[in-house]
Amino acid sequence: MTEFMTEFAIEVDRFSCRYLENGPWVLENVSFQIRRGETVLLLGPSGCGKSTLALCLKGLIPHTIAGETRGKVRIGGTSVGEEIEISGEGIVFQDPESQLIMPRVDEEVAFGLENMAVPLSSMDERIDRALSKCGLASYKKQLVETLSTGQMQRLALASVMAMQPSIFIFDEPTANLDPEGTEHFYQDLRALKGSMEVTIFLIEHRIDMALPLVDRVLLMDQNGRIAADGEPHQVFENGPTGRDRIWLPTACRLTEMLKNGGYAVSRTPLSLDETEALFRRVFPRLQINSGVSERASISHSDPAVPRHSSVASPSASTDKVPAIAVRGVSYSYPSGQVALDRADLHIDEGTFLALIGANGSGKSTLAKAISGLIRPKEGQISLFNQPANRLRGSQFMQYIGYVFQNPEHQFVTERVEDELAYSLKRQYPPEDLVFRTGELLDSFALRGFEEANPFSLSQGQKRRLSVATMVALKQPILILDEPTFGQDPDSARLLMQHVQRLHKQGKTIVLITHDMHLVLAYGELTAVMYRGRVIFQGTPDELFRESEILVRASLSPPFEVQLGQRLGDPSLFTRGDWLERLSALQSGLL
Amino acid sequence: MIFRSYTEGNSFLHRMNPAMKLLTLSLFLMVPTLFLDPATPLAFLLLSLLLALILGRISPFKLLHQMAPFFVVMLGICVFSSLFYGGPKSELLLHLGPVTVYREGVAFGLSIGLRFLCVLSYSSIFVRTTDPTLLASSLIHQVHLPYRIGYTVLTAYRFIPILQWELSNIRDAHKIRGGYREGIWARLGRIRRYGIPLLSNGIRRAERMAISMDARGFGTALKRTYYRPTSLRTSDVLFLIGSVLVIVCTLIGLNRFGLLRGFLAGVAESLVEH
Repeated sequence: MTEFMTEFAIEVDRFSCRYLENGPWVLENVSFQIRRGETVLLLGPSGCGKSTLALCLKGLIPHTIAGETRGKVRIGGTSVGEEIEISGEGIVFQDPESQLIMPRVDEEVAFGLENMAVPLSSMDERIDRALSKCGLASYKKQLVETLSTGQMQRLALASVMAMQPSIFIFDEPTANLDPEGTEHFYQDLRALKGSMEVTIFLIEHRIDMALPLVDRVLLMDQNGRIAADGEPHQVFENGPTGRDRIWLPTACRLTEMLKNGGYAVSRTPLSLDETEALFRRVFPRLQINSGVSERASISHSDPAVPRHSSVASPSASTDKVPAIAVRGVSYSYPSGQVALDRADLHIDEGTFLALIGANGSGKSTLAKAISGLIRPKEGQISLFNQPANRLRGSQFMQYIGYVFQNPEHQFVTERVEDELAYSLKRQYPPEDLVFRTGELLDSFALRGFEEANPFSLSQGQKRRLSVATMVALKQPILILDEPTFGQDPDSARLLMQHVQRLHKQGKTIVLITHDMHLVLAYGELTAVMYRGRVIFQGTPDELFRESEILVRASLSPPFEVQLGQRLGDPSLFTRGDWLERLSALQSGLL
Repeated sequence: MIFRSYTEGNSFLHRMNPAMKLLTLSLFLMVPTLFLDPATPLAFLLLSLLLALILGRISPFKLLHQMAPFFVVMLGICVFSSLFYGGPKSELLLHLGPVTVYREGVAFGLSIGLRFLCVLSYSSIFVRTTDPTLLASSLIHQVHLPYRIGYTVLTAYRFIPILQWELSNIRDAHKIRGGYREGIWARLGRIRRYGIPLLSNGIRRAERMAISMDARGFGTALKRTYYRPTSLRTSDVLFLIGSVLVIVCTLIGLNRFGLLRGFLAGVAESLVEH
């Protein structure tokens, strides 16, 4: 009997959980087993109870966090619940900053070992080994707060690895990381999988990078029940239920469009290799003639002429007014750290620009300089040909709305309606307020929440409210800092629809983001920042041809661009009409 | 930020047991508060600069520079206390309309202000030379504080820069909303507005940190080892004894020159006066 049980690393048997007595069940009747050595990905819409499940597996509910549980969770054959097994399973959480406890890097790794009562004599060696596995060996004596977000998350992983658990639980470990950080994290994970037999239970939203590691996918529905369980291809084969609430793999989305276009697809691909093979099979001409895709792009412009401009060129557009013009702006923080180093940026009125670059490359600082929150001493900034240094702080508001990364930071009142009125009353007479507020409530889908406290709204609503307050005065420029951060696809899509509508009305949009899919889907132009400078400005298509820029700024192209690259044209899938173009190609029309 | 000015070093004070250092420096810090004259805090202030230089290898100028922002406060305390001095008076120094300044008033004001600087100086010597992790460790090992409490020192230390960052972010976010005004009343009004997001995020972070600590087995096992243990050495004890001697000698010296005025004596004197 015991032998049979130890075959599984994790067994969950008709398990239910809720936080409040008589409250709604967050997890309901969940059953699944995970074999030793398996890597399982748990997918589900936000708020479906994924994180709750992770906390239950570790025994943190009900041990640390109060909650009522029914059913059983067994880890390696022993029941979870009575007390926390220290080294049984290790867990890495989403927020890098607040899961780290100690001031120094080596102390952080030591923390878990101390709790396990590892003797001092063997501690140093285990710390060194874990740190070097996660690329942090040279940071051993540094303060944790000096690390980048990506490094912090690798430190969290190293700290768990040092404890040598046989089961790893990851709760959206890359949600707060830039593409480079995400890539490093998955590198570490791959190395971990290769070095010993570990069981991995991974919760993740954006799954393109995770999928190659995964043996099995569990899909959870809105009500905290397991809706699908199986090998990844199988789960994604026919489009899982509740699909619009989870981020589907890009390969799936492309395949689906292919299917809808009337092409027969025998098996849904997931990896880059599989997808490439599928496309080469369906469009054999692509395979025969690798120059074909180039021909497709010739129709746009001559590829021999570089279409990018690595610096802003005001001459490129003479008919439009530059909404934002930044020339040679430098700025250092009081600590002496250089944040902007002769940055140039030129944004025409009505442009949708995606501002990208690694964490700490100066994106937010540049946005703050543009909106007058910091005043650089060197260089020039002008808004609609108006020198910004002549504007007073309050005058910037007439030009710019700035949606911060955390919407809560911007709330100043206790009611949604007041929040909107607060912005409006700077410009409109009191008798107009009711009408104007109503207008905003309607257009940002906030009707019915007038009385609610902004802090009690859902993540998506909070974000929409913060955008609404920032466009209330009809400012011509809107800056958004990571607006889709921590949102499920549904609310992210809804938000971006609002932003796009504003763009169509003629607003200039600056979108600061790490999300390359967002860049592809919405950015007309992109600007890439690297160490305080704008090293590239051009269309996303142009950017993804600039392999040197991509490497320098540590930007990894998204899945569809990589696929395009393999098929001969990076921008093959970046336009919505790729299917028509490919089918035209297939029938020899191009 | 004075609370986070720890800088690595290898001086005597750096190598000392943090709990013992806390005790000894507290003695230096407390003694001058028991006397009412300006000479005692001045002597102890000078002692602190000497201590920093010899045992901590901290330049006195650096220390004074760090305290510079507080000189304004100290000056305020001095002026305020001399103007509103209500004790025994002898020599009138200044008379301007309703404003009268007596010699005793000035002495009283100086003694309060210098005491304030004294406290500041010893505290910053302590913070500058004490690794927070070792402080927690010695509070647990030598003071026998439960380790769950000892570790709150460290989490607080980690939280300070996060909160600072968050506060400056909130300030920027509110500036963009408009209605940002200068002035004392606008400032007071902002405390509440900043407070809500700061608190709600702070609590969320604290909760996450607590979960993360538990997830790594904090407080689970009966036995716990320490990566950086601290111990009490002979030199630590000698330092305490030496410090007591220095304090006593200083007080005797001050008394010899008739500069010392005991706190209790001061109270008694002012009672007689009324």
